[in-house]
Amino acid sequence: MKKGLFFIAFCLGLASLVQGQRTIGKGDRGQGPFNIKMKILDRENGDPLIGANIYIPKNGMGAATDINGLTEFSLNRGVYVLEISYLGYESIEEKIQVRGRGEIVFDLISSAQLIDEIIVSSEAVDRNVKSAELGKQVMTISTIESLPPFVGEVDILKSITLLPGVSSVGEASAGFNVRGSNYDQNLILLGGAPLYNPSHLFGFFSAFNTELIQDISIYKGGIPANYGGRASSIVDLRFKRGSQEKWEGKASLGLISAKVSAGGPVFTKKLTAMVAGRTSYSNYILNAVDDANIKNSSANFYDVNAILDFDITENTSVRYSFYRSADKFQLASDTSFAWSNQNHSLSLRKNFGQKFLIDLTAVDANYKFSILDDGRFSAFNLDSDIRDQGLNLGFKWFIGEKQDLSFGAQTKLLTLNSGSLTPDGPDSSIVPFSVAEEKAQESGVYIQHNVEIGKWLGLSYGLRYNQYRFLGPGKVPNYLPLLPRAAENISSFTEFGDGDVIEQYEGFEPRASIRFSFDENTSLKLGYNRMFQYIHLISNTTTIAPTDTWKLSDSYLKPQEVVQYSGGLFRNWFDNSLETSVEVFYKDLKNILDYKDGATLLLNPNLESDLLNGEGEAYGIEVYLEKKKGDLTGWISYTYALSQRRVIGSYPEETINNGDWYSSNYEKPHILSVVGDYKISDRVKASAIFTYSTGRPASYPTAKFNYFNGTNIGLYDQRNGFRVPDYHRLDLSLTFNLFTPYDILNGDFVLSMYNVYGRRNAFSVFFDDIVGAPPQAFRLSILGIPFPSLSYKFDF
Amino acid sequence: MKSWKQILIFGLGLLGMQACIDPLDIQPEIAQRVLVVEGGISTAPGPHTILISKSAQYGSRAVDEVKLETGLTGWVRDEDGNQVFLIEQKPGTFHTPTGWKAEVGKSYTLFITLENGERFASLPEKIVPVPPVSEYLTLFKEQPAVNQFVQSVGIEIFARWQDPEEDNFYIWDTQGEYKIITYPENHIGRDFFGNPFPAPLDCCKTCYVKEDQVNRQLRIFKDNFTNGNEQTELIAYIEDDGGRFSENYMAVIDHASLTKEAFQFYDVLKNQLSISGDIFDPPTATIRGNMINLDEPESPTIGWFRGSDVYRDTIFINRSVLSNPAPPRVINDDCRVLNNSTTQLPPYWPG
Repeated sequence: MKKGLFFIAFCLGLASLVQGQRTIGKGDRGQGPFNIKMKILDRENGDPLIGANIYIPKNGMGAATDINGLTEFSLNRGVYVLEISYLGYESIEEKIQVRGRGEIVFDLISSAQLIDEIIVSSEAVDRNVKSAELGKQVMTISTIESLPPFVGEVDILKSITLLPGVSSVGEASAGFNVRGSNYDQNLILLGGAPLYNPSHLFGFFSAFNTELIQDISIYKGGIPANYGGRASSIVDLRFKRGSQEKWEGKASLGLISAKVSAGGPVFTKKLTAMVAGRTSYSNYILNAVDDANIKNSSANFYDVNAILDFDITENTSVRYSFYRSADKFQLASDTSFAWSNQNHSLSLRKNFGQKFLIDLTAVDANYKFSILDDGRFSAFNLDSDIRDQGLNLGFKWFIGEKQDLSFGAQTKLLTLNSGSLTPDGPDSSIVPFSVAEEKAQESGVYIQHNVEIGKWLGLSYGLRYNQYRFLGPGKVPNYLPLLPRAAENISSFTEFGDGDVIEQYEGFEPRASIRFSFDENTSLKLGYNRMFQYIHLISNTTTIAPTDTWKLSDSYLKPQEVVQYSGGLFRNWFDNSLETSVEVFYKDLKNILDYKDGATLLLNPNLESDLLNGEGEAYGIEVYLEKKKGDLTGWISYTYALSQRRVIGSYPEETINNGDWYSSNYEKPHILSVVGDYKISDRVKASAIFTYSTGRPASYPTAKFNYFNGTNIGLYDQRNGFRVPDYHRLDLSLTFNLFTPYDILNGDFVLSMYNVYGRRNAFSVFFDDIVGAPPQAFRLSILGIPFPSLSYKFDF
Repeated sequence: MKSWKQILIFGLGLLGMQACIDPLDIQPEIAQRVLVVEGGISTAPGPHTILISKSAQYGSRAVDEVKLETGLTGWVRDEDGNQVFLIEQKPGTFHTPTGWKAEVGKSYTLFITLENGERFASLPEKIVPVPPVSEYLTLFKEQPAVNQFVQSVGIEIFARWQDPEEDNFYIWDTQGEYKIITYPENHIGRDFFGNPFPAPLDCCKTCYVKEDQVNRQLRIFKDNFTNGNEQTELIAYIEDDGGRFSENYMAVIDHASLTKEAFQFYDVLKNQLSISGDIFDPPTATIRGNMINLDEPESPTIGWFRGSDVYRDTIFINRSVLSNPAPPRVINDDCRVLNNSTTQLPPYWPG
């Protein structure tokens, strides 16, 4: 009998092993329900995964893990299939047999470890439908790395422009525009610290190393109340943590740059480090050229990161991160440009039990930019910099499975040196000059509540209160009434001492989104958010240029304000393998910046006299379809959106486009992106991107006149009344994963082709009067031919 | 300082990326004709030239052509009521009387009545003084270029002067003249079918060529970062095209003052000239001027009636200054075919 029972048990056990079934409980009496604790860990380093999702389709139950990676279910005796997912990790399905109360542990593999993975996912496979979040998209690094690279480099910011509602003005543009807003209205957080210039090499590459990034969250709307300071969007890039088990790393070589990263324990598992570096070697290429002009030129960039994580106790951890990026470009015997970002971040995180978490973070971000002109008689150094020092205290209370509450306070000190000019050399006739340093304190308190009410209703709402104080010392000009604001119309100055409050702005920023679910796979969401912005990029070019400076809100420059209304219908199909959504939005923009004709933006002590305040509106519809499973994965996104501006002043020189509405520089009504990734075999995959957009707005001359030596000059009487030709491009790549007896050769070779069919997209449309030809329009294409590249990356 | 845009394009070239330019077929809208005024008066002895025309629809001459005004009545009046009339030299070109000159400190107004009766007047333009130039410096310059075969070389002219304490605004006009030697004896003719055959010409081998405006770009300057200092500023770049510097090059330099408002106009114009429609461009500006349509004050006009104090100088630049001159320009023709050329030896030409 015993042998018989043993045999039956053996067979059952064998069957469960064959089926991958795991048993919980020792055979408690009754049918239950039994309390089942589940814990989700990172397979690589054993860290608990906070917010991992466990869903049991059999009875429609779902839960997210807490700060210790734990969650609980009450389950009856029986067999269940669990769907377990977590951002940046491979989702798994596990079968369990419940025989009584007990615990079970699952571990997930980071997506970054999987060579054959391609996912673009929300945090859970069905989070797009089941969370109340609206306008949020998450992109994993594995997704970005699977896209066709350009000169061997995949780029994070370029990749997110493939998502609906996000666009850029074209090649060699550093910024991106979200739902019709200017690029300075995006807050880019790298490991919690703001980044003021996110680009390398004229905007061709992002200024951060993908090897260090865990994932990227993009908030286009429905922005949680803990984020503030920018009016349009948040791009939050989280750093990875070094492995607790052993040191391991990655390296890759591209056409003009190489990068390396490594991470592992330092003395103990409690202390881990992650370091990374990236550098260009374009200078070596330049030095190899015979032409003296080229040989003496330089174009160089690098970035470095270091991240230290220390688990002081089981519930208390500290993280320090350091980031520096730098660029320098110099034409032989001429002007050189240099810019750098340097960020420090220190955070302390403490859990109280399993329900309460405190996060205290201090950040110090510093952006510097300089121009060195070595013209003999006018040689100068022009330096400017921004210092952003902040302290954030946040609390998160996991009230239960269905709700959590976040609240906290943030404050930052902003210090801007918008320009300091000094002569360079004894022959220079430049007189030293500095624009007065600006200083401000920006503070905010917030509360955010996320709650699921029943199965069909979800709410995510919050409130943020901002207080902004523009601080002295300072000298505020008083302008004569009834006259244009111009330097010659300054009647007097009001002086303020160090620390005096020159101007103060404050306001509430309500944020809310609500979800109505029609069934397990369909939901409707509505959202509202209002945001203020107190720091402004002073740039009258279409894209970010390194010569751009920033300015703080003061007595004349009001904070920018954006109110956004949005809504969306979300539906997943075929067991969440196909995700679809349609979102609409309307934005009301106030106090947007524009500039007088011939405005002096650099080194202008009375900059307010050249600035104009205007209004704007943006609205559109975004359609998204994503296939998440199978050998062929990818997405199609289509956006139709308009972004209009209007500036009406009291005087002709303070009015743009005769006071009529005009298209913003980045309005591209139709944008289509098609991204595909096909797994040809276990070791070979192909990727493709096709993108199409309406041409960006441009001003074309309506008339010509002869001036300055009889040159035909265009007369422009409409702002952005025309469009450059439409943009479209196809990129392809093939990735070969090699497996050889030699470790160094076991990596990925990526062969890519940018602009496969050689579309001559217009970088520039210009009007010229060339001898022998009529004055006419010309198109300059900077990447008008197919551009191949090869890169190699490997683990060590 | 090179513009950021130029550096970007240069950088792309360095990285092996390909840039290409092709024409686009764009049909601008029909625009109204707008009065255009260029030029003005100065403290140098006249005649002073004022160009008056009407704008045209953008595009080739076949589309529309700038209308050079003729038959108009124009006069310049000073603040005391004294006036001089403009004399039409050719369609669109008008001169003040020979020898007449403006006075520093006085304000002048330009009045125009077009043939069709339209009336225009400028805002009063004051002549502000310009400090004299103490020295001119000439330096050889090789312009950086990716392709050394299309590299530009030439001479940079710097002016040195003591800038006064108050805000000052400057503009430079540079005219040039040079001796050129051609090879009429090697002239090649073409028969009815276009086939070449030797057709040597008897004349002429040596000419003197005048250039109205040497600079390819507007040279203006304000002293906000150099106020009160001894100032040395690049005022002209004369490209060596293989012909200009066969011997001496004569440059006649007008070192002139501008009012602040005039400077702002030229600054916007300069900005407009540099626009190439790319993402690093500032937005296009509405070019306004100091001319007003007296019958319809709201209607637009273009241009600035300028009044300047002028310090005029003539310098000769010898070929020896060019340390790496451009290859000689070979013209197998009569030198008189060149624009503004003459075989007459100018009396001021050095030995």
